[in-house]
Amino acid sequence: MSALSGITIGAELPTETFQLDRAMLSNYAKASGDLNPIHLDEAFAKNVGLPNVIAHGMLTMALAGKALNTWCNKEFKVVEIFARFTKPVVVEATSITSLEVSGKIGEITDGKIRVDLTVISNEQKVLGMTRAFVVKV
Amino acid sequence: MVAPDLVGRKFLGTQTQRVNQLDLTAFATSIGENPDTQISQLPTFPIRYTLNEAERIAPELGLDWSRVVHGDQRFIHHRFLKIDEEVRADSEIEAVKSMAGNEILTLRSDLFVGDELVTSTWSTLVFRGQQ
Repeated sequence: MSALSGITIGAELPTETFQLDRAMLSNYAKASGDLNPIHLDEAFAKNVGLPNVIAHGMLTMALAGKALNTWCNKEFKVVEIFARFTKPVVVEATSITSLEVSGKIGEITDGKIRVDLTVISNEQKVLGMTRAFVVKV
Repeated sequence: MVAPDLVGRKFLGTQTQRVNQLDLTAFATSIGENPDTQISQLPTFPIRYTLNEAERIAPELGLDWSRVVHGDQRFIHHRFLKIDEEVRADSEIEAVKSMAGNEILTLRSDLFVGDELVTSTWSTLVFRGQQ
């Protein structure tokens, strides 16, 4: 059953945790067509002033979408999604970066549910104003 | 600096892209989803068809794509794309501003299948100034 069935305003959705590594960044780069070297090449990233390679903002947003997909469980669908990219998600060569996506119901109007998402990595919010509207399939 | 009078300038998509299963599967599996995930379960998948349009447009505005950082992103799905549809992105500059040496562009790209608007997207792109 979908976590959204019969949900009420203010309810919280179960936190989804994802693991990012360099292989995921490389696969996402190819799949999305965003081959910017700041997501792939450590020397390049450092040369432009970043601490290390960073994940695509759109990859982080796609993972927020994945959490939504889990909550929707084919009974609901996402008709709108927004995110602001506020903090870079650094991905080291030899360690895994965790990303936690949680959600809270902000509003329900005419069957349209607004889910306010919080996306955290290394104890920092990495996306801002992240929200989605979902409806029954 | 980007001229403010660029607001409202439109860029009609010059070619269509075919939505195909290979691209969909690659996108789904890259984020750890099942290979049989449907487009309706991947709300950010249409970036596959809009980002390359933004990349094409940037140099026409004198902007250096290698200095771009994504500021924010919105998708509104009027319906979901389907496999084998030919999709075209028509784009319009909705806002430009200069801030702290950066050029900030809000680009709307609408994905059409024929005359039907399927997905509307908005990308705020920050082009970092030369330090």
